[in-house]
Amino acid sequence: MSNVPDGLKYTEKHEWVKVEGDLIRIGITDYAQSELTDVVYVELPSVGDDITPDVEMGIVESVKSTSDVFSPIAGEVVEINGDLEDTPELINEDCYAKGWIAIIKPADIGDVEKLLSPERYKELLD
Amino acid sequence: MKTPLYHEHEKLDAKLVDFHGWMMPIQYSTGILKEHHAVRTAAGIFDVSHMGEILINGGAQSRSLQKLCTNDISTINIGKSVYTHILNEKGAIIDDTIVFKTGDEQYLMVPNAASIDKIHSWLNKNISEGVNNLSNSYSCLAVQGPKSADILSKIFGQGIRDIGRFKFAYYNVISTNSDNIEIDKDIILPSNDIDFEVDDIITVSGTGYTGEEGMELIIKNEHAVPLWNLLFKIGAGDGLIPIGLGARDTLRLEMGYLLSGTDFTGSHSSLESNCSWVVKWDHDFIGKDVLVKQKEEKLHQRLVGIMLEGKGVARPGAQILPPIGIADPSQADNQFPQETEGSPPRSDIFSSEPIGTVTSGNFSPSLEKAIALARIDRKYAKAGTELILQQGKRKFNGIVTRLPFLKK
Repeated sequence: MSNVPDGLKYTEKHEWVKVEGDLIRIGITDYAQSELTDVVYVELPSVGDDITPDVEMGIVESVKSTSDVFSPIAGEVVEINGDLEDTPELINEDCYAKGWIAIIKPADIGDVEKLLSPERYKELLD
Repeated sequence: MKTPLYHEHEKLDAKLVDFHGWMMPIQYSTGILKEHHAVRTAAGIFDVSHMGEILINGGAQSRSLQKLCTNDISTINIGKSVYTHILNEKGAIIDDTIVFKTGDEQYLMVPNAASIDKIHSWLNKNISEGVNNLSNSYSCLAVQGPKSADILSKIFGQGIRDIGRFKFAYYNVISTNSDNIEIDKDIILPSNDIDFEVDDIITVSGTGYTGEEGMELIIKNEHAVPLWNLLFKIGAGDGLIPIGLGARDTLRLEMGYLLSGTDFTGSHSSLESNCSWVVKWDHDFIGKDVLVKQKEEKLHQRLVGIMLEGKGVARPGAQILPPIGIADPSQADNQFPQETEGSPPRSDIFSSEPIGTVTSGNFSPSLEKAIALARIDRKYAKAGTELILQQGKRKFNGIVTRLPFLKK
């Protein structure tokens, strides 16, 4: 059973979003990391990148497959998790905390409300 | 379909996936990387019961079987096995398989799971009778890794250490139930006196798909669960863990071993699959005329290993492009020394038309680099040739690398 913590928002493409003031932190969900299996490379966006909803902003490679990371909402990348360059396994070990991927300054923070609640995301996984 | 070990996989928290119609573990709770390293450094146990077992009986049948195999199965002694390709009339590989000589006029063939029906039909078509598909009655466990002989000798006795590569022996089952199995430690050498089908024996074969030393155990279905559990009990102290299909794939890819249905898909010959060594030219076999022509014309593609530079994995289907940016054409001659096969036309060097396709690609846990098998224009197949791999919008640099990737 996949872990879907309360207090986060989710996308249909298995990313999580956490609101931190006027910024959002994003990563991939427990379900996504479990389906990928062991992660071996992460291709991160660059700070300053403009990102567009549902457009690929990064790539996660595992010993099973390659998976795109999609931008949940429009905005600009303000910080990336450089630890993933050398320790991509953080995504498997701690996808909701140490395995975060990027911090985004949303074009409109209100867009976050349109994302899935934990309950809706759980329904999607069922 | 499920193997007899399906519930054991569930108990071990396996992630089960559909593999050619079989529900098989892709990994257990330890994960693919740790499973891979366990086989390279200690030992792992694989359920490969989805693979087939087909027995071919009779003198005429044995001679017919020889005509279906690229390798020469007629010269091996009872108790030995040989890796061979089975080709169709067009010279394309139907399957790669191991053939065991179990009697003067009896062979056991172990086809890949997805090929059992195809191979069974092919045998029925070309060998009139005496072909017996036992796949539903037999299971197979592979124990692989440097500790495998230590573990197996505790169950089968020290004699198991002497079986050797591509040889096999039998062991009598004394008693078995769902909880336990008792095996006679006296090694039985294969001979005409043993009836593979009737006698209650375990076949222990010095074969595997990992590049490590190890054994494959062919057993009747009722022995699968007790033997699997006994191996855990005996092997845990030596680091034996269960291994899923994920690590099976990374282990075989590091060795450059072909995966049926992936590296050959019904339209490629042995010569186009880096397997000329599997072809013995001094006997007749179906598809030989096509291979002879390919050998003479030297136009066929070749399967090569490519090691990638940097981060990123080229997956099956990724396109291979020739090297670019060779500003000085004289450099091109250094890149591709004149060979009997000729150097590539200049136009190739400067174009970015694909020259091949990745058939298998993954991250190598042992080398910590991405590796791939690719079928490419033979002009570029020389070790050391730099190529570009295009995966969607991404491009990676790669270098043609002599197989196996993992030198041992």
